[in-house]
Amino acid sequence: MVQSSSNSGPEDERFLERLPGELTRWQSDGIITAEQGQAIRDRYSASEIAPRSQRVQGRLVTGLSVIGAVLVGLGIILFFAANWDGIDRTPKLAIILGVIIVGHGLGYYLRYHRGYDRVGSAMVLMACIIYGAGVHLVGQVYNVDVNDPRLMLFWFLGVLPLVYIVRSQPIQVLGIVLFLAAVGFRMPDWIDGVYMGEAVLGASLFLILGLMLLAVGRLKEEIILLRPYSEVFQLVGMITALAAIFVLTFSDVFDSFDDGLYIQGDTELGFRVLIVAAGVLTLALVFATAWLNRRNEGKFTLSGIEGVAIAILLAAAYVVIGANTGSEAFYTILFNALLALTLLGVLVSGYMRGKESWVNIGLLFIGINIIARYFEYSWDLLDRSFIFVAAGVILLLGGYLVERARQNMLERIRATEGPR
Amino acid sequence: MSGILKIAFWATVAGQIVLLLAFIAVKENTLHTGTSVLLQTVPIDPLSLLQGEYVVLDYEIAELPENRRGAASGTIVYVTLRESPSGLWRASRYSNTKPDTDQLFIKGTTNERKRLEFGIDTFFIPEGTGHIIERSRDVKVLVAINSNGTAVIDDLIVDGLPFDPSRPDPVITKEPPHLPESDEPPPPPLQRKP
Repeated sequence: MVQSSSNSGPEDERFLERLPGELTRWQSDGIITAEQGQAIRDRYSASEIAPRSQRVQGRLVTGLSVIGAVLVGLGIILFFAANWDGIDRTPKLAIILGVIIVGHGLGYYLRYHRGYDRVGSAMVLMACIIYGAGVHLVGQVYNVDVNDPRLMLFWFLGVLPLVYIVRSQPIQVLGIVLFLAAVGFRMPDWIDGVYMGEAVLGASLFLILGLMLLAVGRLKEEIILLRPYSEVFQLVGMITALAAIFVLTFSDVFDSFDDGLYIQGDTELGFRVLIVAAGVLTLALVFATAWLNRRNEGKFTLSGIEGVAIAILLAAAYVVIGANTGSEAFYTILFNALLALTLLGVLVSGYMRGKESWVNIGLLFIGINIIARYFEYSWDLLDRSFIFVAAGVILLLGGYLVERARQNMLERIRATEGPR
Repeated sequence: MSGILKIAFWATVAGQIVLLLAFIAVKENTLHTGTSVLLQTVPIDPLSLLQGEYVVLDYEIAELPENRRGAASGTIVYVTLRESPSGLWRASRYSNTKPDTDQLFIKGTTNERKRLEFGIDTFFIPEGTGHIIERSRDVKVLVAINSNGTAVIDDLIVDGLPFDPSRPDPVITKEPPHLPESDEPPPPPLQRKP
C-alpha cells in the first residue's frame, strides 16, 4: 500500500503523539466508529504513536537486550573458536544445530507468545549470531579455508528472511552488515588478477553498494508497508558510502599514477556483474522514489535533490574506475570536494527531516575528515611532537565548536516539536 | 503475528538448518566416498580470530610446471595424481581440461603467486598446539578426493603419526641428566706463580 511520505520531521512527531488521544475523543463524540479508529491506528506502528518517554524507555530495553544477546553470541563464538578437542564430529554438529533451534524457539516464544517484543527480538538476534558461529564451526570441522567467502554468504542467506519477518532493527543491521561482509570476503578472489589500483576498485564497489542501500531505504520510506525497514537501510547505506568516499580522498590510493599507470590487471566476471547490476538497480530505485514522491507530494522536494546527489556520486564511482586521467591530483581534489558537499547535504537533510542520527553522522565524518587531512598534509612538513600538540589543541577547540553547533542544531529540531 | 509470518519464521529457521546439513552432507559424502590420498606439505602457523588456531598448508603438487606459470589468477587446473612406491601421491600431469574418469585427479585454482590452491589449504588445531607442527620434521596430509576432483582433509600426519595434540611433546618432557652429589670440596682457584 502506498501512502504519501509523512516524513517531514518534528511536525509529524507531534501529530503522532496527539493521534491516540484525538482518536479516543473522536470515537466518544461519535465522529468515527471504533472500527474506523482501529483502522487509523493500524496505519502506524505502535512505536510511532507511543509518547516520547515510552519510546526512550523502549530504546533502553532494546539496547540492554541487544547488548546481552551480542555478548552471549560472542561468548559462544569464542567458545567455538577454542577448538573443542576431545569431542567427536557428530556430537559437535548436533550441539550446534540444537543451540540454533533452541535460540530461535526461545526468541519466538518470548516475542510472539509472551509479548516481550524487544527481549524476544534480541533472542532471535542471538540465535542469528549463533547460526553464523555454527556455519564457521562446521567450516572448522571440515577444515574449510579460513576466509572462504561461502561461509559469510551462508550466514547472510540464513539471516536475510528474518530481516523482514521479525521487523527488528538490530536484525536488520546484522543482515545488511552480513551482506556487505559477504561481498567483502568475496572481493579478494574477484580482484585477484589486479596488481595496481585494488583500493580504488574496492572503495568504488562499496560506494556503489552504499548508495544502493541508501536508495533502497529511501524507496521503502515512500511505501507504508515497507516504512519500518527504511531507516536502517538508509543509515547503513549512508555510512558505507561516506566511508568509501573518505577512502578515495587520500592521494595514496591513486599512487599508481606515479608509474604512469592506473588500474592494472583484470577483475573476474562476478565483480563486473555486481558493480553494473548494483548501479543499474540504484538508478532504478532513485527514479522510482522520485516518481512516488512526486505523485504523493506533487512537487519537487528535498527527496528529489537527494536523488540527484545519489546519481552524481554513482557517476563519480564509475568514472574513477573507468577513466585514467593521468593525475592523482584530479581524483583527490574531486573526491575531497564530493565528500565536503555530501557531508553538507547530510547535515542539511538531517536538519530538515528532523533526523538527529543523520546530523550526528555528518558531524562525526566531518571530524574524522579534518583529523585525516591534518595528519596527511602536516606529517612531512612539521616536527612530529609539534604535530601532536597542535593536533590536540585544534581537536579540543574544534570539539568545543562542533559540540556547540550540534547542540544548537538539535535544540532547534526539538524546539519545533513544541512543549510536552 | 499473522499465520503467514509464523510459517515464514519457522521456514527460515528450517532453511538455516537445511543449509548447514547440506554443507555437512557434501563434505561427509566426499570423506566417505572419495579416494584417500597422502600428499606432501610444508606448513605455516597463523591465528584466526573467528576460527581458532590453524595451519596454512602448501603442497608439493601446488607448484605449476614452467610452461603453465603464465596462467592468469583464477585459472582452473586439473592435476592428475599417481601413487609413488613410498605411498605418497604425486603429480603426473597438469591440464586445463578435466581428465578421464578412470584417472584420479584434484581440481585447483591458480593464485597470485602462480601456485595452485585446492581448497584444502587450512587445518584447524587446538589452541596452543601449534608448536607441535612447528617442531616437526615432516608433515603430510591425508585427503579424500571425489570424482569431481574436490578434496576434503581427513587427517594431518606429523612425523609419520596422525596429529594428536594430547600426545606429550618429547622435547619439552625430556628431563636434564641427573648428576650424583659429591662430598669433595670444590677445587681452589688457579693462582699465578710469581
